[in-house]
Amino acid sequence: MDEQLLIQDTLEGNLNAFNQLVLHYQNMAYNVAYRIMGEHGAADDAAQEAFISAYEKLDQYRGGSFKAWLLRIVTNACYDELRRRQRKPVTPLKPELDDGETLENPYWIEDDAPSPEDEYQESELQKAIQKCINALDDKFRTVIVLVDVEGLDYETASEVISRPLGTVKSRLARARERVQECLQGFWELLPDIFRLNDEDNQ
Amino acid sequence: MNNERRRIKELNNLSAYLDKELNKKEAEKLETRLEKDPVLREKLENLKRTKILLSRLDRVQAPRNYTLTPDMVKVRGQKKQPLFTTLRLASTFAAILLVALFGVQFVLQGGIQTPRMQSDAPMLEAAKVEGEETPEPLIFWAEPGTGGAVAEGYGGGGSESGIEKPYIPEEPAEAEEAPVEEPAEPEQQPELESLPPVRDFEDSSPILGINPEESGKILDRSQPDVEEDEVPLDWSNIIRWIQITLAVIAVGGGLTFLLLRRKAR
Repeated sequence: MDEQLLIQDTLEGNLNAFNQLVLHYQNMAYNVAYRIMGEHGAADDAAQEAFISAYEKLDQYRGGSFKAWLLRIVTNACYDELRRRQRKPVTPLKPELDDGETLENPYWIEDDAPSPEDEYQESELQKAIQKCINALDDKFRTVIVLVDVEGLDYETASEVISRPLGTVKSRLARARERVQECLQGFWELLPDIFRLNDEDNQ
Repeated sequence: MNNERRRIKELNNLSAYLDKELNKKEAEKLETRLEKDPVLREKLENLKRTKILLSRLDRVQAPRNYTLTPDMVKVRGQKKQPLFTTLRLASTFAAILLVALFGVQFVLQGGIQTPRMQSDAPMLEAAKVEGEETPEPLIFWAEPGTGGAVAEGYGGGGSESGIEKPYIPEEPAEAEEAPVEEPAEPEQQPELESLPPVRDFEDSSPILGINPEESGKILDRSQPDVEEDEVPLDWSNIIRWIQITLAVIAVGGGLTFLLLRRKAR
């Protein structure tokens, strides 16, 4: 896939060329959005919003890594969506029980057909990790998702968040430390090596 | 405080070392410390395990395609255009004009304030100074030397003392003293009685009562092109109102735009 050619074609009005870029990057965009938002519905909205926004702003793309440019739009869409949800909190479909926990499958939304969420089987450990990621501040969460989940190097991550390398370095270190501390609360889910290590520390 | 800073710096270096993002010199320095310090090694191991755990997270697949249709792009473009663009442009132009107007006003400050100075309190001082140098009456409507009425003030009314002053164009200083002295001298009464009979002013100006045939006898040449009853245009007021209007458009438009954009999101 020749990215630059597709970008040029898009700028000349070829929407199909842009859609090829969308198909190529949509999993990455959705994955990052999901890890930042921590929720499938919100990630879906943010990903769609990001691609529309990317199409509209494509004339502002000034070369360099298209992936980094697109991820910047995705993270910005996530921030916008997070802000919007903070202003207008969404009532969860899952009703809360007396103790504050949510009922996993309320009878009125039970459906035999597999939902996208059902198709995605998360292990308990993965849920715990995601929970710890969700507990981070937005700026720490974004960096840890970009580097540790998405596998970007510091330079690309720095491009995505439009901050210097030093900022990426310090935010990532603190994010890892916090996730590490948070995971100690789920010690029973951790692999043996982590539990042993935890007991040693205690 | 220093300990906390040192701890964070150490944490940053350990984390960057894991990702091979330290330069060679820093990496070697850290490796030397790691060999000697088991606590530091333990910290590094913990960070390493956390990183491994995070990398074990599954890659989530997009639940659907996010390809765009012409309608999606078109609707978005239309939705953004009319109100948002208008408000933003109006607000921006108003702000620019406001700044420009302030600039122009600043440059021309003296020129703008001049009419105001003439029409406000300093007028008294100006009248005094003018009275000393050029006390000529503004309008004369009788033959020189025979006495007559002097129109004073912008309204063209007569003397405030109620006594008509004689016109003395060559000796301006006496013209001011005349109203004070005249009531004390009864000899002047016959002179007043000998004035020409009052004419019919039906065709005259309703304000000044000047007969058009005698209008050429306006003797004050100090402001030949200015009508006596012309009120000078107060530019400073006009400009102030324009500035207020522009400020309201700029601030109001900008705030409305921001509010609408927030709501739209």
